[in-house]
Amino acid sequence: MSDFRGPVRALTSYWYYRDIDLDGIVSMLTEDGVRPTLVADSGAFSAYTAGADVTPKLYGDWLDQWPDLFDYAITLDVINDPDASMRSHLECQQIVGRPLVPVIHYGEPVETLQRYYDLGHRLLALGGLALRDMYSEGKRLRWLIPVFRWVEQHPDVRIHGLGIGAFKQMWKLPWWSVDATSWASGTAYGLTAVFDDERGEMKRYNRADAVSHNERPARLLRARGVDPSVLAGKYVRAWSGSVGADSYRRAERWIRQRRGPITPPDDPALTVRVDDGCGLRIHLATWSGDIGQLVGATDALSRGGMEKRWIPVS
Amino acid sequence: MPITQQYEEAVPLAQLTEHPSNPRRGSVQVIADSIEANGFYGAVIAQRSTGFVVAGNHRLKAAREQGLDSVPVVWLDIDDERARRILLVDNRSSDLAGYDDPELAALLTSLAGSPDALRGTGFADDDLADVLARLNPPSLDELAARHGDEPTDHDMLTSMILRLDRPTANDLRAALASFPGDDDSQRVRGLMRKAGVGTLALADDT
Repeated sequence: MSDFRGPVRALTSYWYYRDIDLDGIVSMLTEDGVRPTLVADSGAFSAYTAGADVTPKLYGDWLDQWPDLFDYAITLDVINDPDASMRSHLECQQIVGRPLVPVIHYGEPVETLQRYYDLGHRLLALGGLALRDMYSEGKRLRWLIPVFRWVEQHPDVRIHGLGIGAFKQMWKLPWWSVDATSWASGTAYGLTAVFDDERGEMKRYNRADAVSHNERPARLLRARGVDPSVLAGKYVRAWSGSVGADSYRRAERWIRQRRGPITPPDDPALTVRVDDGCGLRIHLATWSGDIGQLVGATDALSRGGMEKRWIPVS
Repeated sequence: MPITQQYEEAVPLAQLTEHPSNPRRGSVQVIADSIEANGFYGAVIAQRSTGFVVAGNHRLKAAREQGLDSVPVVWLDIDDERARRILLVDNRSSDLAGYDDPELAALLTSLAGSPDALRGTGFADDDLADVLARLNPPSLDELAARHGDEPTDHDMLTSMILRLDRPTANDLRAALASFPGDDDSQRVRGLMRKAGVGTLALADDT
């Protein structure tokens, strides 16, 4: 049984949700009267890989459809060119007609943060950290440490980490918020994210492990009322995703308990005054087909009644 | 259920048998270290009718390793089925237990500073470090000491993935290899110069 009752947090991309009724999504993700917190981005990279373009106009029109829905929206960015990225950001804000969160990319000089700070931004997103050649923790940290040292000198700044899926990365640095696809990224291979609250570890529960009663992840699952056998044999990918979503929400609580409060920034891009901002916020990046897994939580699994809450979005 | 009929006495190890159905696999070494540091405390729990140990099978093994002649035993007057139940629950209840990290850290830290340090606790210095790491995120200085705090030239390199059919990939490798250079960037620039494209590559010629 999941004992976590904080809000569901999701990252919803224009590219995946452009034709979706987001009020319905909010209704689906509302748990015990607690509304979800949503962050928006363009999904431009996903669109690009699909051979399409996301323009500031399209992105802005979509954001206008849902003026009060997102806590904040992330800009359309240009990779590998800080000047072009800033120009694009300013243009994008103008076309969209609302402040957006700028993105500073891996490798850009720390002074870039200062330039956005001087423009009045207090919530800054760091990107380029989830790329394929970012496998080395040291490589990421050698850039992130000077960045967070700059943040220490600017205590009114908060940082959003784009694509920060590794639990250890979330724990080691004082992010205000992150987004991650890793809660579901192993499900295609029979790997389920299972958070170990006692040891502070995100484990990957292999489909094959489910036959072993001695595996610690299996014990953790049972302790939450989940029969590990649903993740083996007749493996159902959606269930794996639901357990993964629950695990990342547990990880958020674990980090919050230890890191203590990190208050929200006073940033013009923040459209909703979040009142639960006392710590890390892990937004689970979703596409419209898997968002229901965020609330197909483990207690529903334990009752075998997931279908009642599993509302696929077509 | 009332208290099970039990009697305690010192029993020669030869009269005790590890339970043949015991599925538990634990660390005899940790218990042996504890016996050495703390002496044998408590008692082994055994079924009187069979001499099978239902709780403390690893303590019995450790006692043998430590060369003890006898150990305190609490004899239970129980049937075989109850013996098997106790065998399971004694381990299972331990499986389901956890630690309160702040209290564990405080206890271990207080002992770590004593002359015997963590001897006989089953915990090592690394375990204490792990507990402390779970309680407090590393500082930026600690991270910098471990990883550095300045990106290296190598860190700044970008990997690119091209999806090519095999003949084209082989051709590209051969073409790149034909240009001199210490690294991929120099060889690619050579190729681009030859093709007359690329701002940086063409600037190399000026």
